[in-house]
Amino acid sequence: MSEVILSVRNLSVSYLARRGRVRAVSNVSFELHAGETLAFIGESGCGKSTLNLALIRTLPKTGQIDSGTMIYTRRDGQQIDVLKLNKQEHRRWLWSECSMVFQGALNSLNPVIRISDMIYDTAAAHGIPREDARKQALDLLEKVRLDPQRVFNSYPHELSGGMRQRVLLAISLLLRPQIVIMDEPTTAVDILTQRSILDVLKELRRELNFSVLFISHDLAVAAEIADRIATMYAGEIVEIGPVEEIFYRPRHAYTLALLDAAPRLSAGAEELHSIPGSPPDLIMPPPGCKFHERCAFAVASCHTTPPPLRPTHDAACHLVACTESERVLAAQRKIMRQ
Amino acid sequence: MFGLTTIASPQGFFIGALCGLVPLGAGLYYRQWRAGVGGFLACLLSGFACGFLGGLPTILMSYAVVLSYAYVNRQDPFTSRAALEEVNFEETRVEQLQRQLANLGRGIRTSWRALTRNRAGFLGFLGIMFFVVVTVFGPLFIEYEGAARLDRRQPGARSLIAPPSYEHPLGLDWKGRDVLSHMVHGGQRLILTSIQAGLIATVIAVVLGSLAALLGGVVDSLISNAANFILTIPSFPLLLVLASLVNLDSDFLLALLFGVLNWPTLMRAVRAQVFSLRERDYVEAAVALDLGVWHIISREVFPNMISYIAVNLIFTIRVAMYSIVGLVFLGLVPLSEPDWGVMIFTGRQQGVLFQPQAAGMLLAPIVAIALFQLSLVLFTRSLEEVFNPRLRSGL
Amino acid sequence: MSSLTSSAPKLKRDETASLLIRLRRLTRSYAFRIIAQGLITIWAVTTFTFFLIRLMPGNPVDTYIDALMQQRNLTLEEAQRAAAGIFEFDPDEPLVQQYVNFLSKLVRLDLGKSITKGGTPVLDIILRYLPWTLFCVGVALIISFALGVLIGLAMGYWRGGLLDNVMTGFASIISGIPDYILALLILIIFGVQLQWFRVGEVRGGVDPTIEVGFTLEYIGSVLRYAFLPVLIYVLASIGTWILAMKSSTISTLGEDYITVAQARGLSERRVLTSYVGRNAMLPLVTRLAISVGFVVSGSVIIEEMFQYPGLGRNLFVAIAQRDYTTMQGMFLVITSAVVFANILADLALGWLDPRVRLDKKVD
Repeated sequence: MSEVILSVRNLSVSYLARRGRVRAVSNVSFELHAGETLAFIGESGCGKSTLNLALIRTLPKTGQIDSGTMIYTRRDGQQIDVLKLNKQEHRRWLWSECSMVFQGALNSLNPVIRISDMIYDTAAAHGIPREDARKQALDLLEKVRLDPQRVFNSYPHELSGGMRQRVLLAISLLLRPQIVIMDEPTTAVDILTQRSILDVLKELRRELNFSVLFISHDLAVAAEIADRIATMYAGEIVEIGPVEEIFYRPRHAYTLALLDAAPRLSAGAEELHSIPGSPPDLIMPPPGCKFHERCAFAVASCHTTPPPLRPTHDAACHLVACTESERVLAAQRKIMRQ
Repeated sequence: MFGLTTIASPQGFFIGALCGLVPLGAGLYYRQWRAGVGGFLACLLSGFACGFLGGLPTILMSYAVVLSYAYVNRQDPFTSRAALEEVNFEETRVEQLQRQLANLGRGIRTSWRALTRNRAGFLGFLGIMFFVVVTVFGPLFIEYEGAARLDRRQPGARSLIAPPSYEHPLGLDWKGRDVLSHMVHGGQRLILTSIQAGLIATVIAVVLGSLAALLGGVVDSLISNAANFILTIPSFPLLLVLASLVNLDSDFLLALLFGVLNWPTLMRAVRAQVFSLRERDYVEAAVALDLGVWHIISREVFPNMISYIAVNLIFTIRVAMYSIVGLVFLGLVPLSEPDWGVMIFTGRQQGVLFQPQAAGMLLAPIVAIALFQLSLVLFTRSLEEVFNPRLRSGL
Repeated sequence: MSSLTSSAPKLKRDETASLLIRLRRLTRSYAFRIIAQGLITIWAVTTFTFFLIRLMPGNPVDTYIDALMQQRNLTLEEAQRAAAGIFEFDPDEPLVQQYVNFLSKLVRLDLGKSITKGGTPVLDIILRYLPWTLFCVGVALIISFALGVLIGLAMGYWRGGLLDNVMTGFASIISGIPDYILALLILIIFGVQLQWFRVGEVRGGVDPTIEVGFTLEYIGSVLRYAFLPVLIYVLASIGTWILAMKSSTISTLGEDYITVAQARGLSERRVLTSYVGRNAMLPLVTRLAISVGFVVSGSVIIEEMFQYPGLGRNLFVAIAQRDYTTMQGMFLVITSAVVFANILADLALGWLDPRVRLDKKVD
């Protein structure tokens, strides 16, 4: 496997709320390899978005990073801890090394200035000459299948939702970052636009070879785009592994429940299962495995001891935090056979 | 005793005491001592202030509050203190009335809590109450001095004006009259006229706004264009021009003139709100049921607009007071004492603006108007909370 | 040859067509709409005042005739003729004819003659006083808007800071007090009681002993005399700007594009100016037009108080003297000025916010 460009260790993020500290992300560790796409899946409120805001250190004022390291490997091989960069260094690191495509393309562009001005702003902040930025932007706009000249000089309100999303994609690649974080880039658009954006994304990845951290609650999209999948629940990664492993041999009860809750073409509507209960309170999380209250496989030890994230027996790259992973796998086989 | 001229009177005291017996009795009956005594005092004061006009509505409100403490809602076993076996879903007319009264009382209590929650807003409320109390009850204790008091001339003094002293806390004016007495007696007309003006403007705005939105078409464009037209003209110069053409010798005429010129802002808001409401299902249902324009306005539109209307009313009252005092200041309306604005006008006319010892005579009405206006602005913050349904629902 | 001759008219037709298209585009353009609306308003105000003055019970023309009859012992006919001379109309003419005459004179900027000032053209009077008001009110509006927006932006951006806490209280208080009350308070407290400035000296527009001219002394005097009125206009209106800008900034800060701009690594200054500031300012620009009306309204009393030789004070003087022609002309000019300010504010909004320039989105 290719080299690791981002290695996150024991990252914890919390928000200050009136009732106390909300542990939105706790002890998350993962590695991102060059050129791969890692998708985070989970319910809303599971900490996916917080994790990504923490990665680019743009949390809201009430949020803070409690602990952890984020070792980033530059193209020249130099390793830096992103969380230890000062404000100025971090500002430069952003976008030139790691950019982001936010959800909600409608509101992600400043309505009162032209696309070109947004591109020049970005270029100026990173000391790139205007003319270079323009050429690069026109090239990228063409790559995302837009009319470069027209879009470059447009205001956001003159573009449709799908066009804006592609503009965001183009802007995110402007400085040739190694990592692009995509926070549900396809939720706000219709199914056809979603299709074309995914196609464009795949093409761009082939061509420019950047890594993607993909956040989605849409399992179908994640399955299509990702090389590896990480399931998040209550601020923790509960299972992480190659996409086929996760989808065909899930070892965590929550992943199985998620897959079971997703609509499939082959199954009728009556076979859709929702996950009973609701996500736990993150101010006072339950002891043991955080999923045990909603888990069909829970045993006595689940109520007391949190299971560690460790490799499964048959695949070293597939990690899971569940003591009953064999029973989960068996249950999945049974569902598949039906 | 009736009508809008409100000054405390001794009969009013008895009327208030009499009215107060109702909530007091209710308090004794339901064993809600504090609420009963509070209701008694409220009735006493409002009866004292306005006679029957103030006493009778207060009976209803204070009784409702007392009832809301004691009432057990049999219809709703989940939120009330009724035991489950007591629940009886059939209610008599009396019980229904009781339930509605208790709801009203609960609403009043919530509003009061909302009112006190915002510190700045509550300060504004207290400021307004201060002026109301002084204006209403002050005349009982301080007699009005209308005639010149030449006998107060200090030996050797060039004028009758005197700085504050023990007998005259705000000093004497240019005719040797007590400034405090003018302050106490001079606010009522101004405040009442401003409130009248605000109410007239609000009524016009609500009616026209609803009509424009509900009828649409020609009516709508006519009203909207008129509103735009009036909004563009600077209102105070227009008021000046009109004041020169019409003899504004009655307060009501002044209020009416102001109201006619100041409805467009609120009208636009009401129109927009009604337009957006018209699209909603429950209003469409009401239209389909042929419940009539007024039903729709009073039941569907008004409750949604009440917060905005109330805040706007306060602002209109503010601007009305500004304009009225401005007209008086320029001497463009017939002057009649006692009046805060006239105090400023005569003070300036007599050239006392530049006399240091006359500060009391001029500063008193100026500061009073400034504080009253400030109180009104601050009060709107509480009003927003009182009428905010989201905040109100959490009792 | 034949093809040449046939193409010529076609070309011409194309030209007229393109002219028509251009004309249509012009009438649909944002600026055209705004200006046309303004002109219609001015026309409506003109018509309104014309009929108001002539049709009101006890209208000024009759009042003037009565006054002439009493004061100079004229007969009704003589008085009517004299009045017609001053008001410049033929009393026997139908009202509509009078109205048309009035409008046609107005287009030629003829506003009639003053009743009280011995037949001085109203336009001359207005032109003498207008610059003072324009200067004072204009400077005050610019200062208060710019300062208010800057302070409000800073308060919203560093919310909960010292500046925010101090200025919120200050702005709440200052925005609650009417302008002329504020003026009186300043005059009495700082002028009469504390004697920071001599009250008697700041009356008028300029020191009358200084020779009029483009000299440093003269300009200095003008600025010194304008200081207090401008200060009062600024104080009376800045509170509203501060509070409005603060709340607008706070809501803008919650927008996604601000987060995106920060994530793009833009400097804080750039984010604050072209992303937060510019967007937060938009709702305030529309309020600017309303504010112009308020300040102009206030100027009548403020100018009267300081004996400032502006249009506001002279409108009051004309009203007090029942000089209806002057009053009508001044009211018209004041309204036109406000309408003009409205047009400017709308154009500024169009310049700042591309969305209002177009009606429909391109999809």
